[in-house]
Amino acid sequence: MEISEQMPSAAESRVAPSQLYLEARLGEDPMAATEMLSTAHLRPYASACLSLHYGGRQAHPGDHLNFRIRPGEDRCASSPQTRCLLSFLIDMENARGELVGTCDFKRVTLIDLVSDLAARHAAQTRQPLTPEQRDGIAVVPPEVRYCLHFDPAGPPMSLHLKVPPILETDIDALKNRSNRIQLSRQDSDACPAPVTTFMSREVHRALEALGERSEQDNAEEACFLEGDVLYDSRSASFARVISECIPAVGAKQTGASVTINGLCWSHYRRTRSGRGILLGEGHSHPSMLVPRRTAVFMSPSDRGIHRQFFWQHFQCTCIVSKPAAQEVQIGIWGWYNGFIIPEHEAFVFDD
Amino acid sequence: MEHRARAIRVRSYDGVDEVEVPVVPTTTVERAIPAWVDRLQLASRTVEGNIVEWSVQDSHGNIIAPSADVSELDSDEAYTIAPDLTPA
Repeated sequence: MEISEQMPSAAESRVAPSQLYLEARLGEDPMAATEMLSTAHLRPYASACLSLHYGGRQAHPGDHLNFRIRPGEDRCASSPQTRCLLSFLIDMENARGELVGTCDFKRVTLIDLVSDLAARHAAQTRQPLTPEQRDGIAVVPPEVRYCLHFDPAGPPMSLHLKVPPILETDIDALKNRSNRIQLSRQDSDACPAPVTTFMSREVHRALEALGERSEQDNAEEACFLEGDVLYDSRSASFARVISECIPAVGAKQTGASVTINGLCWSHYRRTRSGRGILLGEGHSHPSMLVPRRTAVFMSPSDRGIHRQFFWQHFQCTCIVSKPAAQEVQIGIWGWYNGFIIPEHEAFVFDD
Repeated sequence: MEHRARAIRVRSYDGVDEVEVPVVPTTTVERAIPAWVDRLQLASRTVEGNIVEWSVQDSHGNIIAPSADVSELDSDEAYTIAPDLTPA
């Protein structure tokens, strides 16, 4: 088994089968694990950052991977005091696959993790964790979902993971059948998007209509974006295909904000076809908000919501503005190596 | 015999996580929400400095009243917990 202990480069993260994240960190003592959690995990990579290497090659969707770890065989067992903390970062939403653990695969909460590390630290050093150390752990991002404590003195364990199946596509062919649209981006320096956005003509029209209504009413309006994530194994890149734009009915609207509340989620769940997955949210910015420049930008709260609630690598935030007598302006922000970046183009296809 | 749920399934708004939670008798949905948020690790997703309100729905999108008795929820149903989000 080969598990990278380094954060992958941007190039690696682009080719990662990012439906499945696996990370292993080996700590010589409890504090090492604590240090690991308070430093490495603080990087707001959020998604698509960890590549999984297996037998010296990249794992691909559909692969079945078997791991076996035996005391004395792996470097984690080099010291009798070694504690091995494996964190499996698994995106089960997009996975639609399976995870089979033949070992004691235990799901722990953040509180369990903190308590466990604190107890180990106290047992070894006879000192409690400092508040700073606790805080460091407490901001471990939500991707840390599954943890497994491996006792080198214990019996061998094995894991069977199936890299989740995803829909295969030819992104270039899809582009050739679509119309390219230029996206607005005020906070520029757009990178080549690791996930190419496609949207149906119907979704594009719905976004235009949302922008127009918002301008007329001078009130922000929101919607849920739903569709599929496709993978092109030739270019090792992903595409999000937005096939549904479901208005956030019942949202509390003002000229400078919109609140997606329980009523909106309720309507969304009743309305969605159920074929796709949640790809992100969209909302409008009336042009009156910033009269002298484009209203297509990510506000601090937009970024906060994107980071905290739409953190999967394929998720996006779409912002629409329709100044009077002008074309609708659409901006899409997605993830790139842990950063929220504006995308410079999208593709519209006929249904 | 009166049927009362002993455990129910609760999932996060995005479907990423689902947990089975034991029902604490005479607890309302409103009182159970903090524990569910914790079990789903949703607390770590709240935006710094903002208080996030949560609502609970069944799989048909029906909003469950905050005052509903948790033990009267359907153990065959999956309830979704969703946040109030305010993009600006």
